[in-house]
Formats: sequence, structure tokens, C-alpha cells
Amino acid sequence: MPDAERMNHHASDDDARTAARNHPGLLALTAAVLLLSVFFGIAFSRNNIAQPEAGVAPDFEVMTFAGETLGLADLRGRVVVLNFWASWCGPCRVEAPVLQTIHERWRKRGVTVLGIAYIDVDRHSLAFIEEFGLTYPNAPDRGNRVSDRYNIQGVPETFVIDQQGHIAHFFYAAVNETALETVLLRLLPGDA
Amino acid sequence: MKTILLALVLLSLALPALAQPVSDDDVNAVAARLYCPVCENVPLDDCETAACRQWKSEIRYQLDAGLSPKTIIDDFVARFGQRVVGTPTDPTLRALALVTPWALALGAFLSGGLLLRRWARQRRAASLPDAHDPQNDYRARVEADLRARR
Amino acid sequence: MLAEIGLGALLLAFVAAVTALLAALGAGLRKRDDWLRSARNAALLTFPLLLCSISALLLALLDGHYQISYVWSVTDPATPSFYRFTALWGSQQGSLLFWSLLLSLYCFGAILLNWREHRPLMPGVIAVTMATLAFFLALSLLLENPFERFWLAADGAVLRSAFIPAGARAPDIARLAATASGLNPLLRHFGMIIHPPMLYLGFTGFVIPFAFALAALASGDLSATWIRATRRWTLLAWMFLGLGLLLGGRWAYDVLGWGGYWGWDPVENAALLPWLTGTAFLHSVLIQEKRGMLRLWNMLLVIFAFSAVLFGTFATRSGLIESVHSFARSDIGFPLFAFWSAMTLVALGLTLWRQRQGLLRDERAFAGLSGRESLFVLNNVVFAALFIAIFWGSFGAPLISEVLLDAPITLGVDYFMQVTPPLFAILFLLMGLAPLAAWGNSSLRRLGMGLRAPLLLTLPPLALLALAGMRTAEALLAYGLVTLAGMVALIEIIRGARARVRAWGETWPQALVALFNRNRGRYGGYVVHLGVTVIGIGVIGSTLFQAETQRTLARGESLTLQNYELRFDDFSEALANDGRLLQVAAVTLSRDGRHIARLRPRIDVFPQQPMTIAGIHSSAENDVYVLLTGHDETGARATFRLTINPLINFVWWGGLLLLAGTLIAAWPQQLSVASQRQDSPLQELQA
Repeated sequence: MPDAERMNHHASDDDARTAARNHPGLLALTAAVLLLSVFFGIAFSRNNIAQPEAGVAPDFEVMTFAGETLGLADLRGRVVVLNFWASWCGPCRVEAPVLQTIHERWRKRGVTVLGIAYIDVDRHSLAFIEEFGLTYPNAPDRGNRVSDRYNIQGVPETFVIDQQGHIAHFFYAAVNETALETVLLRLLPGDA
Repeated sequence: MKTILLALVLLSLALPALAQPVSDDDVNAVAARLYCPVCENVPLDDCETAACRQWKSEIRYQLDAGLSPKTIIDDFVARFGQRVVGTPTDPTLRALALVTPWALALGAFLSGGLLLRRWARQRRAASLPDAHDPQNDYRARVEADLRARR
Repeated sequence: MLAEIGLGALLLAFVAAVTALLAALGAGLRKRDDWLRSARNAALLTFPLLLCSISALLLALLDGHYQISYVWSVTDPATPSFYRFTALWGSQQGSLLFWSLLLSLYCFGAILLNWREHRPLMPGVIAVTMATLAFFLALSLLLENPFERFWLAADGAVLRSAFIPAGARAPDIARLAATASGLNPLLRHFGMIIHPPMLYLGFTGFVIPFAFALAALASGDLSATWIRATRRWTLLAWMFLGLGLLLGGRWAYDVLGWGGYWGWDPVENAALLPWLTGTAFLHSVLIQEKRGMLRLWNMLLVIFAFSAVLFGTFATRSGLIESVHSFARSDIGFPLFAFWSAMTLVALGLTLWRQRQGLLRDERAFAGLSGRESLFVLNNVVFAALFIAIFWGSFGAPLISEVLLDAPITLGVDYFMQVTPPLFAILFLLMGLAPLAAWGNSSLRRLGMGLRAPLLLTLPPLALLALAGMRTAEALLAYGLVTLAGMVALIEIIRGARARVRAWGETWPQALVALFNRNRGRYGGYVVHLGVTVIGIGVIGSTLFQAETQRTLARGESLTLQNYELRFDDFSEALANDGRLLQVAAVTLSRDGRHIARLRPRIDVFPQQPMTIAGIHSSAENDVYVLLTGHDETGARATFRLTINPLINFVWWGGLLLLAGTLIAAWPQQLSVASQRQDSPLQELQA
């Protein structure tokens, strides 16, 4: 980034020895570029992070549409199917009944399905929940905080988080029943 | 009787509002200041994705309900974060975004001014008549002019 | 076969570039002239090799070799040949190779044209250009190879590889053709044949001035030599970049369907930054040529122009920012980032080193505050401020707030319309004043006297604009400044010609031709100023006085905006032979009740995404821009967005003047004597 400071030519007199003096503007500029490139390096590497597919699932707390506060940490010991969706998203309409079925079938066996509405208007989210008769907890993503933590690139995307709070599986597109149940069976073998 | 009168007054107040439904232009005026994260860096009024259409319909709904554009924008910011407006509404972020370039530009102007002053001083110190300058007689006037301006 | 030829030529070009780089470094360090000649020959070889490589890719595109994954991803059997040609730069791999080709074209030209005159700088020039070329070719070879092909492994898996994997065979061509994706619909525009090449010619051209600057720093010969070699190359790159920006604006106006040509989108801004730096350099370099001043500053401008090019390339091609103009996220982000950072820091380090040795000190003292130098210094300050403001808005603020404050923000049109207009206003004011001030010393009175005629001539157009209804204070101020700058340029040209007519009795046409011939740089520059004035008029009109309305109409209904009326007549659907569905509305446009045009705004529905194509009624006064933004199932009701863009065509006409002026200024002077005689009495008279 050019800064006019560098125009401070120091050639204040003709003594050749003074030529070897440092030029504060030029030094400042070089330092600024160095800083900038370190900074952009950090920004870029952060930006380039894809969705986490393993490791500890980033924690969060949301207020569901039903008005109840739900934190990921509170669900330790249960398998969490964390689904990002939006009412304007076509594939989400295909997926919603699947998730509802999974919820009904697996709720008692230690699985919590949690929906997070991404860049969605509350009224439309609620209409969507009603249309598909979803009874599992759903929450709006205030300030996009949860979506940012999980670096999602679009909807639908689904993370399966195990009993210890680690990400066990990541679905980049709409989930299908068989694939999701295979993952759940792996995590909860005793309940087959 | 009073209630009927009151109802009539209210109705007459409401009628103009009913007669003038929210127009697309009203919606676009608000949308032009918003940026939907689905199409980054494209103002909402120019974006036609499903999510953006939904946002526009929400703006219309809120305008219909009588909310002011400012309230609507604040509501969107509260729900989706600072990134959805063209310039942040949060005072700190707003100051960071808007004051910094002016401060840096001011720095540039100051440096330019300092450079010119240094050049002028050097010249005065050297006080060489400029062989290339056919208009030496003007210089006295320039300097007088400049002194007069200070 | 084409893939093998293309890949082989690409590989050889890379080897030649590395050879040239090493030989040039050796020649520079050991002062070996034979090594320098080898470096030259190897460097010259890269251009024909890359030409061969890209021809192979082009033939593969035209001929539909869908086994090559690049061909498969940007064309399909329905793609017309015109778009098969433009598909060459339609996606990351092809455009990267094309970028390298243009880079090597510039190296080819610079080495051939400047070999004799600037031999001592050649080791540095060849080393820097070839290092850059080798870097980009390595990206093509290792990460974004345009010659990768599809293969079927023995187990039936589909592989992508440049070479045939063991045990694999070529997949069925017919199936490949049937599944090919076709070109991104947004890129199906006639402007796509010319906009990217212009833009890339602009970007890559800045490598030559940068190389000369680094060569001068490395060799320690920081006299005016490198500046002389550099100016024309900068002018060329600057012209192409300017045209590329304008054509990009035109593309956005025609294809993106939002009624404007400049959205202050980060990618557009990234391309504007080197252009601004280049403009600043083209002015301040004159101070160095004429007065031997601002030497350090000029060095920095050249460095930052190329640094901005590399940064823009990184930002656009890495997925750092998302935009309608950018490429998909890619692996080349980190290498590009590292290269940008390394090149910039190395160049700054060299500058720092030479500055400490006192080699970048000014040669001549200042002659007076009202001389042209002061105005040029101011002009550079404003360019620097613009650069900072635009960089901050596009990259600085959003990234800082995301990384340090964890609060992602957007800086949109609001921000840029608050910060940049005052700076542009000062630029236009300086553009009006500087040509009137003499080098060295000048007087305020002389400036004032020079301003009288242009000021008088500025009044009639202003009155005309005021009569036309553009009467706000900001509009009159903006138009006043812009017109004044144009009038000054015009009067300077006329005064120069008149002096010749009076002194030598030439006819006016003779005098004008001779005038431009004698001092192409100056008078070409004035034509550029005129072009920028005309662009300015268009930008102010279409920004301050744009009017817009949107409504849903039933057939036969109409909407009005100012004195225009738009009636919705009909709606129809048709299937085009390239597979897109056309939804066309027929509308009638009338003004003050008089019919003026029938327009057909439409929506092209491609499988990937819909595209809104405006119906435009264009005249000198304005563009009436009609968009079909939506319709119900039967087409009985449709939503239209009507935009009136006053004076918008001035933007494109100004672009033509800009091109003409730059060509005049950059055209080689046949007689070197002509440039030596600048101090003749007549020239003084014209100054």
C-alpha cells in the first residue's frame, strides 16, 4: 500500500555522507508491506479452511424457535445430527422428511437432530417447520455465528457429532436415510 | 358514539396507507443498502437468487407493517450480522471503516506538503538563480503572493 | 495427440524460462556476455513454445477433444465456435496459460526492442521476467494443468491426469461429449472475445517496467536510462488495462443486468489499483525526466504497479474474495500469495539498499511552489490517497475486521461513494491546472491568466446542463471541474497549433499534424485528458442522475418514469438451439406520448442459472435500460425494472479518445532529433 510518506526525500544537503541515512518513510513502508503480507497470509489461510470433517466439533449455543436455549456441550453423551438448512433451499425440502424420520426413530436411542436455519427469514423458517411437521429442535443462526464456526459453504450441509463431541461424519449435500443410518449405527452399535 | 367517531378517524388515517401499497421501488430502496451473504458483494436489489428474493419479500412485509427503513436494516443486522449492510452500523466498525481511509489520505497530503516545504527550503538555502527559468522576475511576485496568503 | 503436443511445448517453455533465468543471473554476476546471449535466446524461445502450446489447446477446444478435462469443463457439443474460442480464457487453467503467453509476448518484445540500447540492464530484465514466467508456468504444470485428461482405471474409476496412469485406458468419447458442461452462461457475450485479452495485456505489461526497475536497482545504474526504457511499456500496459476496465464495465452493463457498469466490487477494484498506480507514474515520471526529481517515488510506483497486479491476480484467482468476476476457489492461492509477497519485499529491499547508498537522490533542486512539479506532487498524493481508500475498502477493512474483531463486514457502494468523489474532484482540478503551469517556476498570475479562456468556455456547457435539469450544487461543481479540465486540454492543443499557423504560415490541419508529430507525448497526453473528461461527464451523469423504477404490469398496462412510458405488450417463450430457454417480453417505449422504440428484454434460462438481458434504447442523451426481472407462469403479468442512465454513452466514447490519445503518445518517434529540440523557442512559446 503506497503511502505518500515515502515521498519524504531526505536529500536535505549535498553532503554525501548523509546519503547513507535511513529513510524513515521507506522503512515504514517496507514494514507496512511486511505486516500486510503476514496479515493477508493469516486471513487467507483462515478463509481457505474447509468444513471440519474430524476433530472436536466447535461449540455453540443457540436459542431455538421454541424459545429454549441449547448448547452443543449440553448434548455430550448423545450423538448430534447437526443440519444446516434454509427454507429457500430446494434440496432441503427433500431432506427435511428424512431428518424427521431419523428423529422419530433414533431420539430414544440417544440421537439429537438439531436444525440450524442459515440466512433465513424467521417467518419462512417457521412455515417450513410447520409444512414438514418437524418436531426436532430448530434454531435460527443469529449473526451467522454457527455457520461461520463450521465454515459451511451452502445448504444443506450436515455434521454428525459423536458422544464425545467429535465430528464423526460430514455430509456435503442432502443426507439420505441409508447413509445417515449407517453412520448412526457405527456410533451406536448396541442399538442395532 | 365516541368509539364510532374514533374508528372513523382511525379509518380515515389508515385509508391513505391502504390506498398506497408498498411499491417495488420502496423495497429496492431498502434492498440497495443490504448485501445478502449468498451473493457476496452484490447489492440485494440486484440479486435474484432464491434467498435474496426471500429477503426482499421480508423487506416488503416489514414495510407493509409500517416499519421504517432504518428499523428494518437494524433488524437484518441483528439477525445476520454486520456483513449484510454496505457500511457497518455498529459505531466502532463504522469508525474503523470510514475514518481510517481519511486519516491515511490526510497523512498522504501532509507528507506531500512536507516534501514541498522541504523543497522550498532547500531552494531558499541554495538560492541559486535558475538558469532554465526565463521568468525570474516572476519569482519575487510568487513569493510575495504566497506570503500574502499565509 | 494435441494434449501431448501442448503439454510438451509447455514443459519446454518452462525449461527455457528456467534456463534463461539461470543464464541471466550468471551473466549478471560474472559479467559474461556469452551467457547473456544464451539467456536472451532461451527467453525468446518461450514465446513461440507457448504459442504452440496454446494453439494445441485452442485446436482441442475447437475440435471438441472432450478427453481433455479443460475442454470438457468449458464447452459442450452445442457450443458455437465463437464461444469455443473464448472458452480459451473461460476458466482458471486456460486463462492462466493465456496469461503466461501474454507475459512471454511482452518479454519477447522488450528483449528484441531494447536489447541494443539497454544491454547493461538486460541480465536483470531477463532474470525478473523469466522468474515471473517460470513461476506462472509452474502453476500451470503442477496445479492447474490445462492438458489433464480423463482416464478410466482398470477398476472403472475415472481419473484425471496429464499422463496415462498405469493400466488405465481412454474413456468413451461419445459419453464424454454427452456429459460435458459447457461454458458459464455469463461468459457468453461478444465482449468476452476482447475484454479478458485486453485486461491481461494490461496486467502482464507491468512486468516490463518492474523488470527494468529491478534491473536498475541490481546493477546500480539508476540514471534516467531505466526510466526511458520503461515509459513506453508502461503507457502500453496502462492503455490495455484502461480498455480492459472499460470493456469489463460494458460486459457488466450488458450481461449482469443491474443497469450499471461499475459496482465497486473487490475484483473490479483490484484491477483499478494498478491502473491508478500506473497513471500516477506516467505523471511523476515526467518530473524525473525533466527535472531529475522524485526518483525514489517513481521507483516505488513502478514496484507497486506490478505488486498490485500480482495482488489482484492472487485475490481474484484464490477465492480470497467472492465476486461475479472471480474464478473458483483454487490451490494456486498460496503460491500466488507467496510470490506476491516475495516479489514486493525483494523489490523494496533492493530499493532500501540503493537508497542507503544515496543512489536515489534527486539531482536538481526545486524551482518554485507554483511550478508544475508541485501540482504533479499533489496529483501523486491524490492518487496515493485514492489507492489507499480503495484498497482499504476492498481488502483492508473487511479482512482486518474479520480476523482481528471476528466481525465480518462488507464495504459496498455506500463506502466508495463517500470516500472517492472528493479525491476524484481534486484530480480533475489538478488536471485543469497542471497543463497551464510551467516546469520550474511559474506564477499564480500566469496560472490565472491561462485559466480565463477555459473558464469562459466551461460556462456554456454548464448552462446547457443546468437547462437540461441537472441543477444540484454537487452536479454543477463536478461538471464544472471536469469540463474545465477538458477545455484546458483542448485550448492547449489549439494554442499550440495557432502558434505554428502564425509563425510558419501553416494551414490548421498541417499545423495540428505537425504539432502532434513534434511532441507526441504532450499532445497525446492532452487527448487522453479529453478522453478522461468525456468519461467523467458520462460517469457523473449516470451516477448522479440515474433514475429507476420497478413495477409488475399486466399486458397492456404501463409504467412511467420521468417523461418516459413503458407498456407491456406481449410475452413469449422460445427454445434456442444451444439449449437455453428464452423468455421474451415485448414492450413499447414512448416519450411524452410519442412512440420511440419497441424493446425485447428477456431472460435466458440456462441449466446452470438464469441470465437477464436488458432491452436498451440508446442515444447520446441517455440509455433507457429495461430489465425483465420476473413473470408469472402464463406470462400475463411481468415485472419490469426501468432505468434511465443519462449521458452513459459518454463513458464508451471517452474510452475511444483515451485509446487514440495513448496510441499517439506511445507511437515511436521516428526522428530522435525531434525529441532533442524541446528547448527551441517555439516549444517555449507553447509551454
